[in-house]
Amino acid sequence: MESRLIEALADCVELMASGESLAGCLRRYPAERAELEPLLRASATLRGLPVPPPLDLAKVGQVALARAAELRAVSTSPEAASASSTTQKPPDRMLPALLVALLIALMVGVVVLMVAIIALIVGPPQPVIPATATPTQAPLSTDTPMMTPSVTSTLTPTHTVIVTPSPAGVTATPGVTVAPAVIVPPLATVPPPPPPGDDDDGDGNDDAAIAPLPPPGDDDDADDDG
Amino acid sequence: MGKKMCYSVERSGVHNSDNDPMDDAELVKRLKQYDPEAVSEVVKNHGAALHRYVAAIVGDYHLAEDIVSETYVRVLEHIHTYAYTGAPFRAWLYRIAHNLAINAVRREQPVADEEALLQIVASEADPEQAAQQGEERAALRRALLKLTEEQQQVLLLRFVSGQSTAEVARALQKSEGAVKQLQFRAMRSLARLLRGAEAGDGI
Repeated sequence: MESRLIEALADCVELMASGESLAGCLRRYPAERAELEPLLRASATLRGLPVPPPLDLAKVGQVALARAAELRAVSTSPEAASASSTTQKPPDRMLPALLVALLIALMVGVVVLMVAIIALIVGPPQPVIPATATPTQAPLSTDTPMMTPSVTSTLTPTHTVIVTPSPAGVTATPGVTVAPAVIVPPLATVPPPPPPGDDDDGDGNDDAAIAPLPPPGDDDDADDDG
Repeated sequence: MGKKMCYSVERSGVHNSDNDPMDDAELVKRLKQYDPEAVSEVVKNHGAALHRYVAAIVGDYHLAEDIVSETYVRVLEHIHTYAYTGAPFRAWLYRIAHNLAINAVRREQPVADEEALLQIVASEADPEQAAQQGEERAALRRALLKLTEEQQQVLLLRFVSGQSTAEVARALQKSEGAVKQLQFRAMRSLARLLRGAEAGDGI
């Protein structure tokens, strides 16, 4: 039923556009007359909307042409061309570099913070306190027991350990206090290792601030200290 | 039926750009270069019909003229985003004009109604009759704006711009059957709304 009405309306609209009257159209579709009539009246009302006065085409054209000239000038200027080619996607290009820079800055910040904390804990160099550990208490040298297991286990022969005795250091055995170890990268300038047990001042500790890490079980230093 | 076919062919002949898609392709290409000749051609070919279309929505001829100008400016500003796919260029033109007109009505409907009424009253010999006509047209416009956007477009293109079913179908990229169906539903809704307005329900 609706499809018949749709076709009837479309046909009547065309007929009325070509001059047929509303009554004439309705006579062609007597079965649909009741439904068609209000629709055709509404269409006639729409069609009867007054035609506006002639548009000032010159004025409208002038506005459009002026805008076209502006846009043409912008699109053909070398600045616009270079700007559009170089600054097409700056955020996309810069993003990875910015992230890397941020990461590096963060890492440097953490390292600086750690160094500062260590410096605060260690403090200025203090007079050396003689070691009193007995051989049974300190099977290794006085240097090695002060290091935490995680540090000693990861050191390679190419690394050196700076040990600065300090009261604020870590106490490994009663009476023996040694500052925490600082690992120096292999690229750092490292003086040649002194012979084990170099103890010129007779304080019981090696005088060398930098000493090679003895192999596990090396008892030379322990002997010197003892 | 034969008469109907003749009518469609005749009307299509008026809009040469629809018969030859290359015309629109060339026009768009030149508009993308802001070619003054192409701009003038678009204004000349579509200005008056666009003005009538917009005036039917806003009910104010001066506002309609401003909207038509703004439509061309928008077209030029966004032509670089327009990709010609075979659909008539004027479909895009009318869509921009339609959106601008609807926005204008939403923004200043009471003012537009008064302006339209004043224009009609001033132009008619019988002010009372003119005022009544003005009310009817205002009611028609309000009813029209209550329809869906597609329904509005179909009715305005068919009855105000005077395009054939085939032309509207091309403009809206729909089949002719779909346009007829849209037209039927739009007319049914419009008739119901106008009946309600006459009965004093208000729109």
